[in-house]
Amino acid sequence: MWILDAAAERGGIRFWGRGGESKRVAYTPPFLFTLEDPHLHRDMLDGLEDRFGLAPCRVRTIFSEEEGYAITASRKVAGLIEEQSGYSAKIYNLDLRPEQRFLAGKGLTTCAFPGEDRFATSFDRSLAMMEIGVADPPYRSRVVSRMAVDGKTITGSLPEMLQELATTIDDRNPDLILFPHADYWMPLLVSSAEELEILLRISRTGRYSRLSARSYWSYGRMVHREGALIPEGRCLIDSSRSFTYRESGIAGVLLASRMTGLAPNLTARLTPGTLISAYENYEAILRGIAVPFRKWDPEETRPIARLREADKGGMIFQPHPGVYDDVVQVDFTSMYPSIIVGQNLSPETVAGGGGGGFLASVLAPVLGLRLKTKTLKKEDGRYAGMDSLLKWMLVTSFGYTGYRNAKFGSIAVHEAITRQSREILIAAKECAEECGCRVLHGIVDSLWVAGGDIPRFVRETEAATGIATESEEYRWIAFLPMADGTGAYNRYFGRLTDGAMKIRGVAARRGDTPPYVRSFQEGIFSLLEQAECAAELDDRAGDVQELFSEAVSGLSSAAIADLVITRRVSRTEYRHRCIEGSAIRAYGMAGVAVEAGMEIGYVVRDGKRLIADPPWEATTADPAYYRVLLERAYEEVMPIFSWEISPSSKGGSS
Amino acid sequence: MGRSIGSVRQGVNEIARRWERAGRALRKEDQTYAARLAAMARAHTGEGFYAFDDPLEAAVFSVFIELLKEHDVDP
Amino acid sequence: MEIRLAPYITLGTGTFAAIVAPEGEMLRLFTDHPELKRYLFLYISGNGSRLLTRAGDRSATFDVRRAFTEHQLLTILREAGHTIVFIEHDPTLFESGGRSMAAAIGKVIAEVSTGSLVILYTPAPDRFFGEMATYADRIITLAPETAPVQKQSIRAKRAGQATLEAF
Repeated sequence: MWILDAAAERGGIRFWGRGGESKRVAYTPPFLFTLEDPHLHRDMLDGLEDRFGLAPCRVRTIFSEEEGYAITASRKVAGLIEEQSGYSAKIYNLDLRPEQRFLAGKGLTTCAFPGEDRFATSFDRSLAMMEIGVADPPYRSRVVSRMAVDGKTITGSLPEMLQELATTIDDRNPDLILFPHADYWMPLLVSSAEELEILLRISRTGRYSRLSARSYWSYGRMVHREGALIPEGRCLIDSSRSFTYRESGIAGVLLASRMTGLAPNLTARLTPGTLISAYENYEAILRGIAVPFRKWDPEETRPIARLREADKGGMIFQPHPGVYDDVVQVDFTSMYPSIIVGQNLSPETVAGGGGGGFLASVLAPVLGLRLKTKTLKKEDGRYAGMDSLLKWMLVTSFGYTGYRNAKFGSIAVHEAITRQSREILIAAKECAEECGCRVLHGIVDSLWVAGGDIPRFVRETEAATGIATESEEYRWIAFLPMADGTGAYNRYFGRLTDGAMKIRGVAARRGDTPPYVRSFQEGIFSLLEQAECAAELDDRAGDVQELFSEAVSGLSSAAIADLVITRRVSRTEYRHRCIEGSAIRAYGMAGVAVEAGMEIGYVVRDGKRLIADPPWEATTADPAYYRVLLERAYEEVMPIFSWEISPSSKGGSS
Repeated sequence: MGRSIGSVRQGVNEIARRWERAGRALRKEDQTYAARLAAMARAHTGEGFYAFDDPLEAAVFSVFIELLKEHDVDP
Repeated sequence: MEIRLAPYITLGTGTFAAIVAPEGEMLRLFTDHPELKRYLFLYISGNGSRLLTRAGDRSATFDVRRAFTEHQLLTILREAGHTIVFIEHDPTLFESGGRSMAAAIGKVIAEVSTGSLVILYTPAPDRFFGEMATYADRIITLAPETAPVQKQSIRAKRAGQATLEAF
């Protein structure tokens, strides 16, 4: 069966295929534990044997193989074992999703036929699809007044709309439903249908499982996951909220499912970090490796000097602020994962063990597949979704090695990766200079070079590192300064040889910039785009200045919607009064619960008194506040006009 | 940027700020040199952390490099 | 081995001291006591550290081992063989385990302190710190720039009742 969905039931799992076929398997897997000295815990072991039965077994981790026990009991029992052993017992295979464990144990996976290669570049993804929508604004409205089904609007009373929806679902029998803000509307639709006794079979069984809403810390900021009602037997994707869907489409959701053994209902709702974790778990189960429940193993002890050396990030070559002609940006493709695979890095090998490291061997096929899809998508856009999903998983795989709760993470591996990446970039710089190139800027896995024999530099660097690169050519590029006058990392803009502008790090690229300011700055870039070389930029200074004056005077008639600032909320309480706090309060008063990690929009009504309104309530905006935003956007770009433009090989200087 | 140890760049920035502040205590004719010194300390912070763990060493190295460059231009 | 942390406060082997102090004050342990270099010193920090950057200068030789989870902290403590063990408290370690884990760790710290000096430090106490501190011999609060106030001295059994107003 090509498995579309899986739901845990008492004592087993029900698997669903396309079209509604289903099959139940009985499955009650044990968890495992080891004890350093079982003799010290005889009483506990006897008690467990009596109540649940204990099966002695070999527990294989990525480090070693040990004698342990298998026991079929609840999580609560596992907690008691931990406590009663004074936290010396090590528990394995406890927090795995049963369907994943079952499938991986048999070498099967979801969204694939038995025996299929999970890493094939193409796979059968024919699914009966349907689209549902609710026209009312989500998060503020608790009423459904207008819906859409496959683009066709349906109105009427709620019972009429629900009945029409229910009939359509029964007629079309979809395998996959796309529904913007599904995770917000579903509880309302499902409970209304129940009350009205309408048989709404979004879930084939009428049962839904819950993914709870939560806020969590990820990559240095708070992120919020909405709660969700997950149907059984059909895949329901919240097309607005699903990161995987938005970035990688249905193909990405399905590929994530094939790789992790988790149904697409889940992979559509998980972040790349959770996906890479699930993938590593799947691979471990496949190889008979026990998945640890906790992180017990700390790093090695070392002198403070060694820690200082190791606790660093990627290599950076600060640019000298200026505008430069004929520059090539060379990017290493998937540098960090390539290092993991190329250097056989894994928790058990990083201190110098031989043999194939678990992490390296698990990431190798992902990297291999990505390199294929990267090439394929240039010819055929249908590979873009798969490529995007793989890109995200690879990007996350590095950070995950340093994540404190990562099952197969290791700070030593994390440090080895960054150490190697610094060496690679330094060696690449040396190679570039040997080829007569000038290195203008470098950051972690990218170098900007000008002059010399660039093709030779690229060839030799790829050969020396074994990592593929990609190049982009600029007619001219401007590296902007930081507040202290030295070159900013990753803040630049320039015109590529194909005519397009590439812009990074400035207001127009920051998520919280209101549309009005963004289009102002983008207007500047449209003007600058006409310049064919650095020397021609100065000619545009006057036009840019005019654009700024127009933008400022246009503020008073700007549409309120264009002045909305969108920010991800980092916390819901603030010690000092501030605009964001004021916006959160306004949301609260409108009945919208704001959690850390959620994105909210607001319009600043009074910058001095720190008053902000939610977009649907805002009627006026503080011109002085937004003028400052315009000024900042303008000043970000202005430095390029005050630089002396020297001949291209020298670049700019202040 | 590390997980536990503040980055060398942060350290150099702190040192540069201190040197700027120290300039205020100098005689007027000497003050511009303090500002220049702070800028020289910052000039190579981006790359400094590759070999250095001590921000003071990185700052001093950066200053010396800049001094040698100036020396070469005006012999 | 004895350290004079402040007037009237001397710490030695066989002591588990829970210290609440501003960072600046705690840093003086490292800057004002060059004699510590003679001893095997282990610094245990959590996720991120506020002190570690400033705790050692170029000549610092102490060992570091970081705990990113409470279970790692337990392992590190059980394996510690140093004369002085300094733990920079990190509440994020305890978020999932709760008080019972903190209590278990407090006990292990007390065990480790039979052969060494263990300092558990925090700039601001929370309930996890409080839980572990119930197993301490001494709880010391250092106020900034004024004479240190010794809050409690529990020389007796770890399990003895101690009212800790701060927690």
